[in-house]
This record gives sequence, structure tokens and C-alpha cells, in this order.
Amino acid sequence: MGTIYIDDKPVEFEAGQNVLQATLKAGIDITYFCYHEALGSAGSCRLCAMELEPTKKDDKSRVVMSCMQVAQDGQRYRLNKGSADKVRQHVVEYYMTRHPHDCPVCDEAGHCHLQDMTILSRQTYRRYDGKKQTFPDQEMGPLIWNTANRCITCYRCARFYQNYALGDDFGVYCSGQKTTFRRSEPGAFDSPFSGNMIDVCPTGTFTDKVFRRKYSRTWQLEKATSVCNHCSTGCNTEPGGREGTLRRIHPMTNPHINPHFICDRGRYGEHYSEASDRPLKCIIRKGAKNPYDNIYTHLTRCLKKASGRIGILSSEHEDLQTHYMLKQLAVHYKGIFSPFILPDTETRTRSAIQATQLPPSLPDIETADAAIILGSLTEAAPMMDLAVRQLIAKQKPIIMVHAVPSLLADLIQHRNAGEVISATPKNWHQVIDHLDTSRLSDEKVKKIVLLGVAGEMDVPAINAFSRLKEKLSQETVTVQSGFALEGANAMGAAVISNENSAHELLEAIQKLYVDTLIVCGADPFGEGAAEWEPLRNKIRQLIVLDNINTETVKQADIVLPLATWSERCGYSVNYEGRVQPFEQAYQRSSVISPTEFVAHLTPHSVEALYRQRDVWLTQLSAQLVISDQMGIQLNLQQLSGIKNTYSSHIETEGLQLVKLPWHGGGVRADFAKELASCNPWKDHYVYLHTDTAKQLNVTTGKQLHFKSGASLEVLCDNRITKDCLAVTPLTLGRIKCKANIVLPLHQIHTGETDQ
Amino acid sequence: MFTEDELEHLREHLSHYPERRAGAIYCLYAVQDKIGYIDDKGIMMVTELTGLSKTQLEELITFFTLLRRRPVGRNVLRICDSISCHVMGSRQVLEAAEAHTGVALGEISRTGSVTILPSICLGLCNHAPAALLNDEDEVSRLTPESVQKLLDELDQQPFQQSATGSQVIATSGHSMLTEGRDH
Ligand code: SF4
Ligand code: SF4
Ligand code: FES
Repeated sequence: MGTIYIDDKPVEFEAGQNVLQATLKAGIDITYFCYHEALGSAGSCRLCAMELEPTKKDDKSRVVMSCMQVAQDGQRYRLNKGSADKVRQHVVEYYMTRHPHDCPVCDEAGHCHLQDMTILSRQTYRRYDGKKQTFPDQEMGPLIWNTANRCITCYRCARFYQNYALGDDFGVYCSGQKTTFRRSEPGAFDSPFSGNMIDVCPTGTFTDKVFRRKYSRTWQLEKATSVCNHCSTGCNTEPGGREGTLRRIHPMTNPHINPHFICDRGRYGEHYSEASDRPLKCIIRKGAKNPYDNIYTHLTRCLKKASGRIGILSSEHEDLQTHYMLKQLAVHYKGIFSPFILPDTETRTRSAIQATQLPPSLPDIETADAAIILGSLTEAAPMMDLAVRQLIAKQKPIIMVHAVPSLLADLIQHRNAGEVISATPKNWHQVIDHLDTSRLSDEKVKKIVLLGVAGEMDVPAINAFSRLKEKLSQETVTVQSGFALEGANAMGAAVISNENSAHELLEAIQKLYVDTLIVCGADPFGEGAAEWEPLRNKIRQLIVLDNINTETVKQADIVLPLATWSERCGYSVNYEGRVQPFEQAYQRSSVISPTEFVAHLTPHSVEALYRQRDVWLTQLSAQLVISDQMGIQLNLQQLSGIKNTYSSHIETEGLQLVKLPWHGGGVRADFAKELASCNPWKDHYVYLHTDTAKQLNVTTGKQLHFKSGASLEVLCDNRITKDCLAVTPLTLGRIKCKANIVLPLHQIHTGETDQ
Repeated sequence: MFTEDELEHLREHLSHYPERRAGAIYCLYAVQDKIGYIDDKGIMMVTELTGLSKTQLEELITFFTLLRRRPVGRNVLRICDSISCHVMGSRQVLEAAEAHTGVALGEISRTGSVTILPSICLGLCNHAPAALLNDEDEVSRLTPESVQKLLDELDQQPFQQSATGSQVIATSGHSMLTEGRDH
């Protein structure tokens, strides 16, 4: 703590801050390029020059780089009043000699740091007759567009990509005037965080290639604070729309979750809203509608007739407000509501929430002393992985257990940052119980984070996770544990629903108590086909609201176009129990929000429903923690209602069917075509280790037949753990199997043994 | 690419550093000395030896002008174009050399005898315009005529490669191509 003086104005600073940080914090405008809040100072751009006044009488003042200058009490700096002003102007002029006259055709213009800094420096002219250095642009895949000439060599991109995100397929080439930043070969980036290069780069060298195809100057975008719905981290985003369509996703700063960055799934996955097959009209496929009725009068009549026999299904991917509204609808029509498609998911989610204690926020993870990771974290919650990468960068000890290929596991191995254990999920509880944690028992280790991927764990594994937590907790060691859950709002879904809700709904349909099903943002007949498909003929009316063209939408009798999270408001609860509101960013005319849907079908108005929701939210937690961006944090200890009592029989002999995730994939993100084109896994194949293949007597190219009648072509891949059959989520739906089930060997066979 | 003997030498050399990656340049030189430039296979090999990624190695190679990713002629002539040599007429020398080889700077001459490269200061300002032949022999006070004469001589010279085994892996990147040659 102390005070420095910038042009005679006192500026407070905190210990360890540099002069540039303190100046910016105080709201004083100063030019800079290479300094970045997350990446720190590099001292390479020379644009933050200030003049340091001498302390002794006969000394001279000197020009220093404020980002490299640790603030010291009483120092006096001249920003605009001294000679450094000229220095900064010359530096900008020098950069401009290298920079093309691109602003009118540059996607960055209007939100460009280089433009802002140039204007701030008041340098309006450049003197240069020489030939400009030019560089060929590199093809960088479907997500990022490169215009190499615009680079001003601030090194931010390389510092982000290599030092922060720990990627190694992008770097700095050559030296001096020829310095250029590119990938070692053309093509898409390997990193799940490549999109951040667009924001980190202060110029238009890297721009959003998806945005480019439906470009709008950023000041013409309709924007709002939203929450990413592609995993349970709940990063804050700022969607920008125009004329009723989504143009781009930008990260929104939230110091508790994502202070600077978002992952590529969050940035590009949201473009699912622009998929060409998105349902954007009401469709009535079955049941005659009176021509004078509007769709809601028709629906109301249908529902009134079916009252008492109605099931309402939503999913972990839908927000809390949707769940709340649907629950009101269920009350009104005496229906059964479940926010979980499959009982297994519900079971895992509830058990995981029970095992969550002091859930670490992303900044908590970044500052931990050690981490234990159970499951493919990169693919389940990319930004949690980015936080763990900060531990790897600091060479903190890490232990990871996984079954399917995970970028994080590769990285830990490559950097020699800890231990990676590859094991079949059905054995994880044993692995966890016998985990050798001696590498974490250094006395410097004060905070350990324990992160699980709920989608890959069974209840015994989650219980072992809790035991591990107990084992590691000591007086001097804090253990924070949390899970990447299976949907953006899985926590909210568990909070709002009754125990065993999915099981109850399925049973009611089975027993013919329910024959009309309303589905909102869920895909029971695709994603949940294993349990739902056999019940299809018991459902006489299928009413579906969705924003992607799922299998369920295809089978629906009535389809209503649902607004996406960017197109409506709502609340979502992330893996920590953080209740976050999100706002509507732009308006699409043809779509409907769940609240409007319910308001049409019940006597309540939208406003009345909102008022009820507010009352309910206040009751939800006795202890509300309210802070600026953070919304409300659920007090997990008080949510004693979240229990898991349902258990399914677990087979242990045989091969385990596991989902093959990738960092850009997701129920909705799969419909974002540019991102989906980067998926490394192929649908309709089964991936297995060569040893497993030998055991089954198959090789690559052979067919494997499943009990459901489906057959898949084999692809041998030794990155898959032995005893596992790995398939993409879509393939899982096609073969009508649930993830993580163990198939006895006699249930899987090759064509040959059949004959 | 390398014999077991040579590989052993490289591993042994790397073990002297606190971190393996510190020996990357040495290994890259070894590849270059062996086949004249650093090819993709060589990069893969150094990746395995040092634990550095492909990108990190490419960064190194493009940063240091003495490392090269493309094949060169039997000889490499680096003509300095920094300030002193420039003042003393290196541009004319480079132009004459380029005209003589019939190909652009950096390419292999038609006869295969030489690749001409512009170079940053060689520290031979007192002999400007100066050049360095095969990373070893200094050539002083070049003129357009003398450079053409030198290139003619190189065209005549037969190429021979004699040394093999770990003795050719030099500590400072001295080319093994020059090792069997009399100066
Ligand atoms: S590409 Fe952008 S971020 Fe990277 S060095 Fe150039 S200007 Fe800086
Ligand atoms: S980590 Fe999850 S919440 Fe955050 S941006 Fe990525 S997908 Fe969205
Ligand atoms: S911001 Fe200080 S030198 Fe770049």
C-alpha cells in the first residue's frame, strides 16, 4: 500500500502492483499494448513510457516503462507533462510504419486496442517511404481468421497461447522486422481456448471467422450479460445479436468465474442457434386444429383434456427459470415434472452435489497447491481445465484418473507435471481408494482441489471421492471439492426437483398413468433413447419445445420454437451453486420463452410468474450471499433435500461403454457447424484398445454387434483404456445404450462368431 | 538418420545440461551437419531427444540464421548486408552473385555448387564488403567481379564428404561438410 503521483495526482497502489496497473486502476488513460491483466507485463512494446522524477536534487529524470516499474511509495511520474509523451508518440508512429491502412476493412475496427491507443497518443501522422514488411496470412481452420500484416509484435498471443493456455502448436517465428506469429503448419488450433487470441490480440491479426460471415460493427450489436449454457462452469458471456440473429459471443468479465477468457465451446458452440435446421415455426403434425384457434388455444384444449395424465420433461441443460415455470405448469395440470432425462444422470448429479464441499471457483483452482482430477476435465468443463493449467505452469503436483483421451491428461504427461492413471470407470472407486497421494504431502501444500467429472463416475466412485476428501483434509490442509456436472444447470435441476423425478416420470409412463408428454429443451428419444425409446408407443401426444433439431423434435406431434439462452432471460446454477441471472441479448421474433409458454397455457401472466419466481428464489436459500455480478450462492450445506436414494444395479464383469467427449462438443454445441467440424471423433464407430479388440477377436474395420441389434465398425485406438468401448454421444443414442453401462461379453459379438 | 553411436553421443551431451532442452541447438546442428539442412524427420528426432515441441524447434530455427530448414548447395556463401558492408557496396556484390547463380537468394544455384544468403553483420567490418564461406572461411573486400570469380571456382570444385561417426558432431556447429576438406 502507498501513494505514487502521476502528473502530480495522487494514485493509491497495492503491494506488488506496477505503476501501469495502479494508473489504470485509478482510471487514468495511458497507452499500452503488451501488458495484459492475466498475462502480466512484458516490457516489449515501449508504449507505457513515463518519466520518473529524480529523488535527489542533482539527478536527472529518466524515462521508464511503467509496466516494468514496481510502484514505490512517494514516487512521482510524469505522464503527459514530461518528455515521455513524445516517446509514446514516436513509438506509436513507429508501429504504424509497419501496420497496413486496413481499418475500413478490418473486423477489429471500432473495438481495436491499436486504434484506441493511437488516438490516445494523439499521433496522427507517420513518416515512412520504405517498403512495408508483409507476411502471408495463414489458414487457421474454421474458427479464426488470420491477417498477418496487422501484427505489431506485442507477443500477447504467444504469451497467452504458450505460457497461459500451455499450447504448443502456435508460436513466434523469425526475428527483427520479420517476426511473425503463426502455427507450425496451416490448420485449426489444437487448444480448446484458441478463440481468446481474438480478444488478447490488440489488433485485427486474429479475428472471429464465424462472426466474419455475418459481420456487424460491434456498436451495432444488441448485447447483454448472459451465462454460457455449454457446461456447468457457467462462464459469463456477452452475446451480440442483430436483426434477430446471433452474430458473436464475447466473454463477459466475472472475477469469480472467468475474469478474462472463455473456451471455444462457449464462444463458438452458441452458434447452434443459427443452424439451418433449427425449428423456427410452430408445427402441428397430429391432431386437427380448429382453423380459428391459435396454437395456444389448441394446446390449452389438448392439455385440459389430458389433465392428470401429463408428464413434463426438461433437462439439465435448461435453466432454473424454465424448470420453475414448467413446474408451475405441472401443478396447474396435475402433471409430473422431471428436469432429468435419465435416472442415472439424476443419481450421479445428486450424489455429486452431496459430495461437493467448499466447491472451488476457477480462481480458487488457479491458486491451489495441488489438484486431483477424476475424469476428462477438459472435455467436461474446459475452463476448469484452463484453471488447472495454471497449476501445471507453476509445477504444482497433479494426479489425474481418466478413461477416455483427454487433452489435460496428455498435457500432464507431456509436461511431466504429475501422475496420470488410465482406468475403466467401473474400477475408479478402487483406484481412488488406493490412490497414492504421497506426492501431495509436501508441507507447502496447503490447499488441494479435488475435481470430479460427474458424467463419468458411478455412485461408488463418488463415494470414494468423498472418502478421499476426508483422507486428505487435515488441520493444515484445506480440501475443496467440486464436480463438473452433466449440464449447465444440473445443480439447479437437482435443487428444484423431487428425488427420483426421472424414475417416477418413466414409471408413470410405463404404467400408463401419463400419456401426454411435454418436452422442453430435452432429447429423450435421442440422448435418452436407451430408456425412453421402449415407451414411445405409450405416449399419445408429444409436445416439444426446442431450439435444435433433435430426434425428439422429429418425432413430435406439436413443435414449438424455443428461444435460446441468448434470446431470453433466466437463471442458471453452476457447479458451485452460484445462481446467476442472464438477460436477453437480442430479440428473435418467431421464438417463445418457457415463461411465455406457461403464461399462455395457465391463467397467470408473465409478470405474475416472474413475481412468484422471485418469491421462490428468496425462499430457496435461507442464507443468500449477494454480490455484484455473482447473483445468489446456494448454501450447499443447507440443501439437505438433495439426497440420492435411487440406485441401479451395477454390473462389473464385462466391457464398459463410455462416451467419447471432446472439448467443443455438447448437446447443443454439436449443432454449431463450424465448431462441430473440428470434432476429432467419428460417429457410428466404436473405438477400442487393441488388447480389447484382441479379446473380442476383432480388428479395425470389423463390425461389432450389440444386443439392441445395432452394429458399429471397430476403430482400434490405444488411447482408449482397456476394457472400454468408446463411442460418441450421438452413437450412444443410436445404439440405444446408456453411457457407463457394463456389457457382459456375451452381449457383444462379431458377425463371425454368429455364423 | 543417426547411427546408435551418434545418438549415444547426443544423449550424453544432453545429460550435461540441467534441462534437456538446453541442448536443442546442438542437436539441430547435428542434424544439419549430417544432411545439410534440418528436415521434418530431423525435427521429430530432436523433439524426442529434447522434449521440445515442433513449434518450439521451428521458433529456434527461424530465429537463428545459421540453422536452415531447406537444402542448400554444396557451399553456403553468406554475404553481409549490414551497415558497414552496405556502405562499402555489398548490395552490388549481392546483385552480381545473384545474377551469376541464376536463381534468387536462398535458392540452390543451377550447378548445385552454392547457395547465397544475405547475412547480418559478420564482425568483419574492417574487410567490408565481407562474406563467410561455409560458416568458416572469411572472404574479404568483395567486388562484383571477385564474387563472380569465387563462384566460378566453387562451380569447378568437386564435392566430397568424408567424415562419419560421432567425430563429425562438432560442438559449435562447425559443418561436417567442411571437416574433410583442406582449407
Ligand atoms: S498477433 Fe496480435 S497479439 Fe500477437 S504479437 Fe501480433 S499484435 Fe500482438
Ligand atoms: S467452460 Fe463451460 S461455461 Fe465456460 S465458456 Fe466453456 S463451455 Fe461455457
Ligand atoms: S505495456 Fe509496458 S512495455 Fe508494453
